Amino acid sequence: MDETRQILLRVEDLSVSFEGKNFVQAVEHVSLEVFTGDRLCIIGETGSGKSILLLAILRLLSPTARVTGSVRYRDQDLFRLTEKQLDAIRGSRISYVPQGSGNGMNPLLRVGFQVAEPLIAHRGMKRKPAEARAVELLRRFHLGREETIARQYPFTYSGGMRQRALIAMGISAGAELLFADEPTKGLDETRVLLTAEAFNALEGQTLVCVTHDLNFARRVSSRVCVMYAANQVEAAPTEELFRKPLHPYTRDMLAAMPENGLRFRPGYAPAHNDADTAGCKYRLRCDRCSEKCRQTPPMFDVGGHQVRCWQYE
Amino acid sequence: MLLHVTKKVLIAILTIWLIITISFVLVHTMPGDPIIFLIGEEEYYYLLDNDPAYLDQLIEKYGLNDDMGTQYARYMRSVATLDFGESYSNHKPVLENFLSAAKWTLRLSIPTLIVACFLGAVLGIHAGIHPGGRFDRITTPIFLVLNTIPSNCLSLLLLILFAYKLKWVPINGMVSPGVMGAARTASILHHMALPLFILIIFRTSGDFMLMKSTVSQIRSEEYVLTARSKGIGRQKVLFRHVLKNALVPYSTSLCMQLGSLLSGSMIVEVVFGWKGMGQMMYTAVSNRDFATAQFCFLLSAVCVVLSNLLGDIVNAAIDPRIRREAGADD
Repeated sequence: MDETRQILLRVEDLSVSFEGKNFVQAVEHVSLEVFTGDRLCIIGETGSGKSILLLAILRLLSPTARVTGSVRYRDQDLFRLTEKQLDAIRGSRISYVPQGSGNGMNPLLRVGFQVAEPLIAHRGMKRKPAEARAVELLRRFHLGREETIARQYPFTYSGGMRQRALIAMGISAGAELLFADEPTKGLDETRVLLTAEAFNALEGQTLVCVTHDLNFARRVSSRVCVMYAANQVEAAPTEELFRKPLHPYTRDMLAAMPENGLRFRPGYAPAHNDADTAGCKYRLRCDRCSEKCRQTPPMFDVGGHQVRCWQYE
Repeated sequence: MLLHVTKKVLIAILTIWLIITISFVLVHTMPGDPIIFLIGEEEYYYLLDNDPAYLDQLIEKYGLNDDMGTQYARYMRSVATLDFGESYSNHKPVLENFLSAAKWTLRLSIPTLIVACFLGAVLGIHAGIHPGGRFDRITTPIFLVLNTIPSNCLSLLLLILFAYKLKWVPINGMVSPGVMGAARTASILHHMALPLFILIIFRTSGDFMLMKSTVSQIRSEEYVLTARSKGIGRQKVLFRHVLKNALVPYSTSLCMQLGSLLSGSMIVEVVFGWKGMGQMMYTAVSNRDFATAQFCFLLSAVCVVLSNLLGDIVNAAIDPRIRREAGADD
């Protein structure tokens, strides 16, 4: 570990649940540290709690979410800040890139303005120069005819174009920590490569990226955190994780990649409110399951490689 | 945008022409002599028995012996010159009756529209921004009840309470007889207090429900989350990202309400003896005053068309997707 790097973000024992009739435990006791200059990718299947984790850190979840644990950004406890203090951090020091396939851009505002909004809010720029800067940012993502399309509305964009515009928006104010939620969703392979290139070219910015795209994660990240059924099950330097995955879920997930033969393990993750699956959440699918797996395993450190599995006790 | 507006205006003109034409065709294709509709059934049979020569004169006067083309041309000319004939009830020109009734209706409907539009929006935004909060839990059931209770029930209940029991307001009418100047204005305000209050309650509850549901739906849209993640502040998120989007359905509803400004609220006007357009329409139908009823229906139809037109233009001005659909993108 480079000693000059500082901890930028420390998440401790973060849990998120949605109370009510349909109780959902979306994130369970997740702890992670992000250092300056880190490229952290959070991978895992749909519904494993990756996106909720990002939103919980930024306190962007709905009031129905019950969030416990702590999040420290540099010397500030994000969960103790007022909404106004948090607004000074959001977009300015920590920015967020939502999924482009969804409805992440206001349909009634021009894309150029939406990309420029953080510059106007946090960098004191006037609207015109901020929008001119937005055009430059869009150019970095090869949208084509950037000056014209900056004046257009999001509904005229394809999903891929919208995704790239959202990334441009995320990096517009030069926040030191960038959260990206599935930035390659809906992009073709060429655009995925261009997005990876753009992320790799970010200077002085730290990246926390949620993705399903394992190849993209390998291209852009220096560390990977694996989530399964609301739990963090493994965290390791990227190459080590891809070379030698420790958790049975990670191994199965990598085996299911096309280049590894599409070997898919049958079964599903337990429901978020399934009380019968106390202990390791993967035990019902795991071929090395033992009686001990009925208890929740702690995170074991195997030479800097963290894994939540009793095999490594 | 100009092209879009022009297109919409032309469609509105065409629709109005169709409405006028259909109203003409209906009268002339309905079973029975059209003169019955023009002078009323009682008058017709009276004249038929007692003064058939005068009846013939009337038929001649209204040109009912002419061919359909001539009659249609005359009808269109009279509509264009706002000559809708005489009222069967008081033998005054329908237009004169309308101008007198419209004045009273507008006294109720304009303040109702302004106050309800503002109150409904402000309260609806507040409840929609914090759905499930204390304010929402208190206001929503109240407005829901007010929005669903029939207006005649509420009017009568409040009339019994405030006019009959408490005697705070007059039971009905619009102004006390024999008062002039400031006293007359005060008397009108006194008389209109209760009907105005009821109309405002109704309109506000409708506007509140619409604004609340729109805002609470929009606030959970992904683009609002994106806006919040930019740290631009609560007010900017609300005005720039939530309300701008909420304005599309709300402005449509307001334009529709503008369309009913003149037609008034028939039930409230009848209950309170308020001699406005609603009352005029009610009386015309009950008395089979065809000329007045036909004018009222034409007016209502034209108002609906014009309010739709206004709604289309306002929506296109706010929402670029509508401009694009209409091929009027900027």
